[in-house]
Amino acid sequence: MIASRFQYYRPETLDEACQLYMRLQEAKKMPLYYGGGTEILTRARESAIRPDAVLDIKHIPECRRLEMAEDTIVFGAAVTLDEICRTNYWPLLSDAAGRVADHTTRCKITLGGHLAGTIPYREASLPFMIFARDAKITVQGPAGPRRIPLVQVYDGQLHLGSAEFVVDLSVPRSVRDYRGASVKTTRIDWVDYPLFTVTMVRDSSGVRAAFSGVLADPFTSASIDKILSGKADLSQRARESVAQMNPIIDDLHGSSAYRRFRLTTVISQLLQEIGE
Amino acid sequence: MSTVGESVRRKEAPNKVTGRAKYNMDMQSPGTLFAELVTSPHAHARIRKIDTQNASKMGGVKAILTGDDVAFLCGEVLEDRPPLAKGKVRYFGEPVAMVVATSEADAILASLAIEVDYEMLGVVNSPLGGLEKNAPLVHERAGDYVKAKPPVSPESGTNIADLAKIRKGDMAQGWKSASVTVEARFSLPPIDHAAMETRSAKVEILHDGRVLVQSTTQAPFEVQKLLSKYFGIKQGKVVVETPLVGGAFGGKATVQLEVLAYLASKAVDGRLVQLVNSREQDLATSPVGTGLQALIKLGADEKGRLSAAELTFWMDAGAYTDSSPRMARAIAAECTGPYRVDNVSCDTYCVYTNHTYATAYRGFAHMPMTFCIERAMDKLAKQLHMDPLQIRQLNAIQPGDTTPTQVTLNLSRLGDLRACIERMETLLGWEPGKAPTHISGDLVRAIGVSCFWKTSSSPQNAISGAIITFNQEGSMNLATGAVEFGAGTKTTSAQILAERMDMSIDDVYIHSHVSTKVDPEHWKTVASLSTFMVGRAVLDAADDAIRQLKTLAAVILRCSPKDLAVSQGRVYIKDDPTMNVAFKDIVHGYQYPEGNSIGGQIMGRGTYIVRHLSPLNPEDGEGRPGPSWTVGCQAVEVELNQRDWTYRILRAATVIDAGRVINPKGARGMVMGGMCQGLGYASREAVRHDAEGHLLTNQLRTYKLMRVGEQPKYLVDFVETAQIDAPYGARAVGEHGVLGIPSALANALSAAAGIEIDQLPATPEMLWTLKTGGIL
Amino acid sequence: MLSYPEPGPLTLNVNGDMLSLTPRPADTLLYSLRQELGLTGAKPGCENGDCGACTVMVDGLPIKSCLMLTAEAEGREIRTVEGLNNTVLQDAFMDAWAFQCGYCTSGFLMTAHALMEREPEADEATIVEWLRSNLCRCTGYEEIVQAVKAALEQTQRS
Repeated sequence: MIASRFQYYRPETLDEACQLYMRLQEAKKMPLYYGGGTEILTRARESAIRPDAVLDIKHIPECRRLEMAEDTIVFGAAVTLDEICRTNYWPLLSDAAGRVADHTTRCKITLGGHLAGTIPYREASLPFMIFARDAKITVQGPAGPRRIPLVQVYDGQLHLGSAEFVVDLSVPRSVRDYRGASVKTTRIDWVDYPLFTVTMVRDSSGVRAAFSGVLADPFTSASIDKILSGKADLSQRARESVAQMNPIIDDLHGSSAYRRFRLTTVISQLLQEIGE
Repeated sequence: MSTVGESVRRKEAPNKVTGRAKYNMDMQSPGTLFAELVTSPHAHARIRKIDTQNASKMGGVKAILTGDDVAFLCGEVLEDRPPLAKGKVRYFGEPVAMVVATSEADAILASLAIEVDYEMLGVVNSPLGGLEKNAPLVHERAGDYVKAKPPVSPESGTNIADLAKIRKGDMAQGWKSASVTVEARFSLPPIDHAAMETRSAKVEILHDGRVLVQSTTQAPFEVQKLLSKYFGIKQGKVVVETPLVGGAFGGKATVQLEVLAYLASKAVDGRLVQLVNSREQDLATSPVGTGLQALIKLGADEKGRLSAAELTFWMDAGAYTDSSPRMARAIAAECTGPYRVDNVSCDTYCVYTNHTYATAYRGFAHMPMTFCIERAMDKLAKQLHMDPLQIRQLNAIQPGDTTPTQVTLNLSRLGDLRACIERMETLLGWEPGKAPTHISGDLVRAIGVSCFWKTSSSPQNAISGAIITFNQEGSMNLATGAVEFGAGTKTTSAQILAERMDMSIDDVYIHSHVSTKVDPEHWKTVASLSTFMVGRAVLDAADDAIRQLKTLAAVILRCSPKDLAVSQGRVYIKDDPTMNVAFKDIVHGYQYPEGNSIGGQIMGRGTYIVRHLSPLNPEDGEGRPGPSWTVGCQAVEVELNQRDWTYRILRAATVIDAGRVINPKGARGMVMGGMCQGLGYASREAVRHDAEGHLLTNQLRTYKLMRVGEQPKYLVDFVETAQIDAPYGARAVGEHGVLGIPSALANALSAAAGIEIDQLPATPEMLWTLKTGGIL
Repeated sequence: MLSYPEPGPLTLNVNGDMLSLTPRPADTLLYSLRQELGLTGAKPGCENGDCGACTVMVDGLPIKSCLMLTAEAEGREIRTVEGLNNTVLQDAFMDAWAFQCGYCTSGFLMTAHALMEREPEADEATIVEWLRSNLCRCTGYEEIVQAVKAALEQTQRS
């Protein structure tokens, strides 16, 4: 059970959530915005965190948007990974999000929680990172909501100001036109934290890739994209791009040497898959 | 009507599919107090100070206990384990203190407020590491501990907790006859039982002195005896109940939480206290299955006939011995695998390490032992350019051969391994000598095989019992002391009773929980012995009831009891079944038409005690460890991707000599489940530690189990060579599906990858490292 | 705004019954179902979202009840194994011997039941993807997959 005590609030508007958060802070309480809650609840049970209050944002309509309009696709922060996969507005995102945790848990994990949590993989962010130039994020803060380029607050980790939370992410509908693929590898189990995940797309200007489970946080790299878009044969491009990655994680799931080996094979496989 | 041999549904099945089946923590009593453990974050450290001051002032806290409050040591064989660590901690997760509070939340919060000051000590991180010169000592004076159930021979000043020896034949002669030899080292990690239900115990001490225990134990009668012994309470006052158990696999045969819950209850004036393992505690604090290191040398003549086996096993006993000394003898007794070897020398060491202590795990250490032998057999076959099944067929142990402990075998005791191997060839479509097959691109398929045997090591005086009472309508109630943790013991015993009484299984009622107060003792629900021991007791009880039924019916039907038989709830005259009397008219006494009554209640009582077992001689191991053996042959087919060393497990097969299959779907399910566990251990499961001995796998997201989609296609078949003294000939099969599977998988992958897999788990990374040296 | 700053009374819709309880705001749905409502079919196996033994249905989807607060479940339709009666699925589980100890069974049943409602035409890959949210330590899994397939087929036929 969760031994520590915390309060539960279910704000219905963006402002209400933010105001409440600030009031709690002023009262020297530690509030947490609460999306799917999967990480908050497991860490609270272990007493790794002891929030004083959780603010469940799932009932704020703006956070629940999941829409494909004429030119943009909007993913609310409180939309679950399962809903993203089921609607499949952006197949590349479905591929990446659909490999997080297991199906039942994806019915609970929300996009916002997935990006804001402490579990470092954040695989569902990889497609957004690839389209960082076009991806927008709406952040709610004390001054109200602001819609800004994703890169301003997300570089593999989310950097938000005090009392801020994610309302939604959006991308131009044109992201659907790119040929892309996402591959998650694990130590051996299908359901496990990743050894690493690679997402890759190709357009007229070349190849772009995003990686998770390789370095401490998810990342993209212009120099790696350049290598991947080069003219060398696929396995050489793969080797050269992996050589750029340092220091590669060495943990329970796999050594850095093994990650390096598997990355090389997966990258060439992906290059082939996207038509290089 | 025949019930034996039919796939009758489990008696408790309807409750298990409706959420109505009750497990230990499904029954809550208002007013229960909650105990919570503080456990060690270090593998080996001196306890400088435990500060409970802040915790004791917290809301709801009723008592706090530390090692200083407990004056005795526990241990089934060797009393070496303090219930709460005293002076130092010896493994990550060891209980150090215990809080009792009025709510679960208060107990947890207070446990977090207890501060323990540790001084780090060097760690023993593997059995062989524990034998190194200057290795830290896990126990300084192990030789001084009380030997509760010898044999056990700890050596002070070392980490050796025990040594079991086999000396059979003449090794010099054996090596002289050998024209080929293999020598190999193996290293296998501990395994966790990972039953879906974690271990828990509730204890209440009444003011009349009775101690009421309810726990997830596989061994309620052992809990009763040990609590009686540790706390000086008359056995009759200790009542232990076990409801349905959510998986056990040997891990619930150990007695740990019951002792702590008793101490907790004692500290709060005997009030009802519950102690429940979180998953993290279940993985770290409660015992695991043993890890094993080994050095195996086999010699064979040019035809492949084994002539010598020199074997050394080092068990990872962990911080305390628990049942490890008994497992060491179990390994020793069957150290050659199911093969005839006339010259055998085997040393099995229990080595103390700073790991969670080991206890029985499905197969009683036979799974890792079998891994070593069966890998060595494949290496031998390779050297001799022999087919792996052929070399096993050639050496398969036969009636007339002797075991490593010099028991002479006969068909009834042993079963028919050769028939199992032959059946396996058919089942697989085996092509002798076939090399791994390239499927396409980087994909290679290969099959690995293995054989196993196991007897059931039990005390020489293990007992079981059964009591049959009748309901007035003529149906029966069957009471036995075997716990139901999924193996279907209750249903099997009901089938045996229905068969003997020639009645419908629907007219046999069982209760799915066990109480030491009303159920006759069954030693422990372990060692796959329940069908045999409980079954024998049930048959004895049925015969007792039948004798009483006939005696009374003979009076009513005016004949000799010898003229009578029972069937379909009636006692009838054999040569004229129309003359009969219904059970319903006699089981609670017979009433004559005018009103006079005779007979009284019919109650069948049955007992069984294992016979002819003898302890193993400490010098050469001579002795008889178990009543009979079960033999079998297993195989695993893999498809290996030689580009990235990932693989799929395509097929897993078992042919087992079951003696007689009592419940085909039940037996098949046990064997498949065993194979799945074996595949899990071989491919992914491992209790892992860092260099300082910290447990890295204390959750189910790091201790990985197989999931749907990862299981292979299963092939299961049975040979039926009756064990004459067993109920309807049925041999033990509960554990065996697991035994040879890890070695079969490693044999398959070794062949497919062209490497020697002598450690586990065989992850793609391990294959890659072995194949390439870990160089890109 | 709905708020539970302190333990407070709330009503849950469980198996069609409106049930009143007074959870702590930090109580999980698993905890409340078992300890307050006596619905012990959902089992704690890890309380960490790893094993699936506590799976229930919430608004038709499988949810691990250890990963949901009771307060969060307010206003939603909860279905537990106690709400399944004489279904084709339960019968199929018994027929296929899809359990041994039975501890994981409620969770598997609820995952599978949600699957049958949501994906009545589920193919093999979908069945596998849903069912691998749950762990079983006793069976070989084949029995469970077979039971679910049999139940799906029977439902499709009728």
